[in-house]
Amino acid sequence: MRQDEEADQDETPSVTGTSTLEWIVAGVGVVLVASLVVFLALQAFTQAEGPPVIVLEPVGIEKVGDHWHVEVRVRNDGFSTAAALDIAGELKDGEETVGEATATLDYLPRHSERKAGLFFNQDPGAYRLELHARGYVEP
Amino acid sequence: MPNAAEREIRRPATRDFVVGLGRAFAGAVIFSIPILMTMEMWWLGFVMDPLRLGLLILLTLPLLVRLSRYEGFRETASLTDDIADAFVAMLVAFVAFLAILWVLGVFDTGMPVSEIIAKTAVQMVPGSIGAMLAQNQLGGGDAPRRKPDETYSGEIFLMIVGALFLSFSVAPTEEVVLIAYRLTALQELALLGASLALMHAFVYALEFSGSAERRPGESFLHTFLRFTVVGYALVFLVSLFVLWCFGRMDGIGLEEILSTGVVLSFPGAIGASVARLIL
Repeated sequence: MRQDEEADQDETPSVTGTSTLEWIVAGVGVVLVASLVVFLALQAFTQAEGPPVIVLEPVGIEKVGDHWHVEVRVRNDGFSTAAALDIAGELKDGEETVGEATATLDYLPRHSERKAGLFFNQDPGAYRLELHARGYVEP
Repeated sequence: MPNAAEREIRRPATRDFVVGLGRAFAGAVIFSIPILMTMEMWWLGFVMDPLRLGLLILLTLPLLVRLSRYEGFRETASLTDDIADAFVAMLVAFVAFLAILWVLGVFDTGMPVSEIIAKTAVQMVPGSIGAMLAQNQLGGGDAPRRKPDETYSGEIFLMIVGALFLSFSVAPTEEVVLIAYRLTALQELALLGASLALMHAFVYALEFSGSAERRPGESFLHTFLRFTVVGYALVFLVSLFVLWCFGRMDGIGLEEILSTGVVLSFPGAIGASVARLIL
């Protein structure tokens, strides 16, 4: 009891009720947490299975120093995440491969896209550019 | 709540609440900055099973409510106040981390909203605990609040919070698994012994402020079994739970799961004993 009196003299609130403002903020918190949980549960139950579906698309070619740089947009349209995803680009002259470049993406989550760059010694504009994904591991 | 009945319940001031919000923000950031800047934590945003993440968030709520009684933004009068504070802590952590992760460039264009939400939600769990702890650890001139009663269940609860908090920041890293691969069974046994010894020494032997003293008439063995061994068992279970949540157990053999559990219990044990000291 003695301590309580001292505390009051110091004007240190010992027990504080909840203000309207706090109730409002807490209410927003409730909405946030509830929607997070519902969202995650929905995701878990509606998620389709299947391997990653990798789509590669060149978005720009630029000469950088002695090399040609091909910017590649890598998209995963599948329902699972690919880790250590290897992508490769080949420059073809008819059936013959004249240039090759590879890149590795640490992660490409489902329904996401990342950008990568491939370097070639030849001008990709003069040949046929083929892009493919080579392999990945499950995260 | 006998305490609340004896004391007058103060009318809450808006200013106090805003200051409390600021402190909660500070607590969330200070306690979580190492994991906010950890790559593996970001990856959890798309690697983690959404159901387990949802479960983790739901389980954090009662933990925060109970923690609010001990720590929290203010000395609360009733359970509803604690519940309000728990939701405020979660909201503060979520909003703060959404902003911080964005500033840190963790969110790329081409990243679906679901990934951004999940990345932030994982971090929100330890962040909201940090927000709860802010008041007690960073509070202003008020005399530091002591837990209302030092019951056995209270001490056990604090150990769980401490273990969860520390193992949460270590569990996502590759190093935990790597260490578990490298350790021999004998080394793991030694690590287990060291964890137990540290846990006991931190609380009873080193005379930190907040140290507990063995109760008169209680033998070393009694205290050791009652707090340290029970505590370690809980720390181990918390470690396994965290590993499971993060998907670190999927497809792993039992032996490797146990050894990863022992490795993760090392930081967990330290967290548990430190929680008893400082909370």
